[in-house]
Amino acid sequence: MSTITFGDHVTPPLGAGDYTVTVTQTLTIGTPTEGYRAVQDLTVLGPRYALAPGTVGTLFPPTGSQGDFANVLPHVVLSEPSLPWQRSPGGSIPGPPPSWLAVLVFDAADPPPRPFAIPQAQLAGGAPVFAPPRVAEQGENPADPVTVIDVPLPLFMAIAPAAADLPWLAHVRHADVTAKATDGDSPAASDYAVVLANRLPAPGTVSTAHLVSLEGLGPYLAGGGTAIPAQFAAVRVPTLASWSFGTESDEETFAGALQAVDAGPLQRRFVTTAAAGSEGARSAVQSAFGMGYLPFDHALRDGAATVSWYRGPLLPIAGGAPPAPPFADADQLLRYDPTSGMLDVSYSAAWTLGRLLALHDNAFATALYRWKLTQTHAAVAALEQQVLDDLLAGDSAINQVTRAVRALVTPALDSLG
Amino acid sequence: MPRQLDSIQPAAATVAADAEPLPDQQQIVEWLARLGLLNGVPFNYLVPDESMLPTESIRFFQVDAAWLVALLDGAFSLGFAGVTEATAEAARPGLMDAARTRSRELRAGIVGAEAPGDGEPQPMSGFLLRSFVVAGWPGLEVGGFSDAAGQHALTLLRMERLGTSVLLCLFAGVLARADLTEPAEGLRSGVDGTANWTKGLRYATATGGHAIGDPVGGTPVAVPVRSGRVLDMAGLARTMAQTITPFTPAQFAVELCQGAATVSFVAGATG
Repeated sequence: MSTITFGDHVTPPLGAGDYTVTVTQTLTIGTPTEGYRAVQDLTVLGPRYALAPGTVGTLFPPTGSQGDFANVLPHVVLSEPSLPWQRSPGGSIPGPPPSWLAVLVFDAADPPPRPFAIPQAQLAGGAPVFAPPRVAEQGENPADPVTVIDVPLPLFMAIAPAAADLPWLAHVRHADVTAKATDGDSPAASDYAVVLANRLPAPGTVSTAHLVSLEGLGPYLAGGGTAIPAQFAAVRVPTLASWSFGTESDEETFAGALQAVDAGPLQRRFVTTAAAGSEGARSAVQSAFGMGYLPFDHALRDGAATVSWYRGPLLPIAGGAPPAPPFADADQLLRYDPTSGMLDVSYSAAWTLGRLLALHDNAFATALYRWKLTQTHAAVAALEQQVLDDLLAGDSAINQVTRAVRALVTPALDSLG
Repeated sequence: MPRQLDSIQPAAATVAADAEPLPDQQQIVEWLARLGLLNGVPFNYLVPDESMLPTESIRFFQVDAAWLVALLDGAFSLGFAGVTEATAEAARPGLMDAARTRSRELRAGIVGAEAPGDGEPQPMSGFLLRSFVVAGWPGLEVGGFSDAAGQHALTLLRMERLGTSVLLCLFAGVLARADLTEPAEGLRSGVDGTANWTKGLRYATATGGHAIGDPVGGTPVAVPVRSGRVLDMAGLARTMAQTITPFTPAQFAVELCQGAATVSFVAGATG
């Protein structure tokens, strides 16, 4: 039905960081050579410690869900396809470009570290909490809060991806949007980056996953070449998103959830209570519900109050033949049912709604008015033209005289020849 | 720390001019086309009572053509005055036909699909889904068919979320079956088994008469484990690269993918 394309990575033309553009020009006029030099600093900003809302698309398994996820690698879908490659974990990692983002999965028994906020200035850590060396970037404020987790060192070394894993944990997906919901006039996004975890959730318990930044931590990961000194007991990593899910066998998967959905036609269920009304009235109401109708209080124009039927445009059954427009006003569309003495206000309400929506949209209302005026002008002009044409082409008295004179004179002139 | 700058591509300097206002007739057609797909109709006009669409339910419907005629006529009724009436009336059928045609093309234009050809005017139908699935799987994909076997696909005219957990889908034609599929970009990745995990390989290129994704067959590869349930991803990639060439992170993702779930609903069958 729809296709998906997998891609390796999308590297931004310029990663986040500071750059210097140097332009040199050498002029040679005669023997002395003159050189000109211009230097321009520029900074490319990229998300570092927080993601803009909407960047994190799908978290899988969904937040708070329960399901058979024990052999599924949790993942994060990011709506910015180049995000995992905008920064670097540092160190020299062979193979394809490594991702600076990783998903850490914590078991309930680990236990999952508690995220907390610190000012950026404290990110550097200090014994016993290790943090990789960090360079402040343009536009950063030392007081800005960063959400971090402190992971005990043995746990971190056990569950964090090895340096060589990083190139394989992120990839790009290009989805076909023709079967997806639109957001107003915008199609759904089609390009995504996906970051996979490297650890399977434990069965029968609740797992917590964190999307973390490994910027600068590359050399300290397993196989990265540098060991974290022994005086540190924990590693501080910024967390950009976190969520929890359960892996009990209770199915709350996509298919499980939809199979539990109640399907049926769009109508109100008729619940019968024997005490209410006569048999005839009950069956009348039941058949009205079956046609999508609902009773509503209706305040009539003369002040009287009654109950009328209304149904929307979405019917549980096929609709009848449409009435022929135009209608001069909404009242023309009121239907009266002589057997029950009730009105059907559906089409009347639709007409009124259409008129109100049109009135509400100033641009449309003006355009419609102008267009109708143009139609009138065109019609009037056509009528005028026709009257003139009739006058000129028609057999008026003057035309008859002219023709008679010409008929007499022409042969006389001819005979004179 | 300054880095070496290899080259910079100057971005094409284009300044978007203000959109030229559409000619009146085009603007009217566009507006009526949207109204014809029930854009802007308040939710309580569509579903007058909450009990018609309880939580965790899917409700099928057919669109009442008469209701739409009344709605569009109400909108078209503005600016009627004396002599205008007859002349505007003469132009109405053409305008309404143009709006109907346009409403069939709107979605195709937005998602970049091929516009459906001009066909016979068809009745519209569709479904409303109210479920946490709408919020939990935002990229949810939908296909509609005019037969229960799923042979004849219908053109999707509008698919939009009305709020966080309600999804409205309108199709051209009478819907007999709706297929809801897990979003392709959210396809889950994983391994097979409960311990001593393995993974059956798939072809990652369409060569030698195999389509991408066809199983290679043979013994599934063993998934190397670092400790506990922490997988050795680089080791797994190395193992797979012995069979699958070329092997890049994209192929790795294809190998790890598990199929997307599809759930079919047959309209008329009550659940």
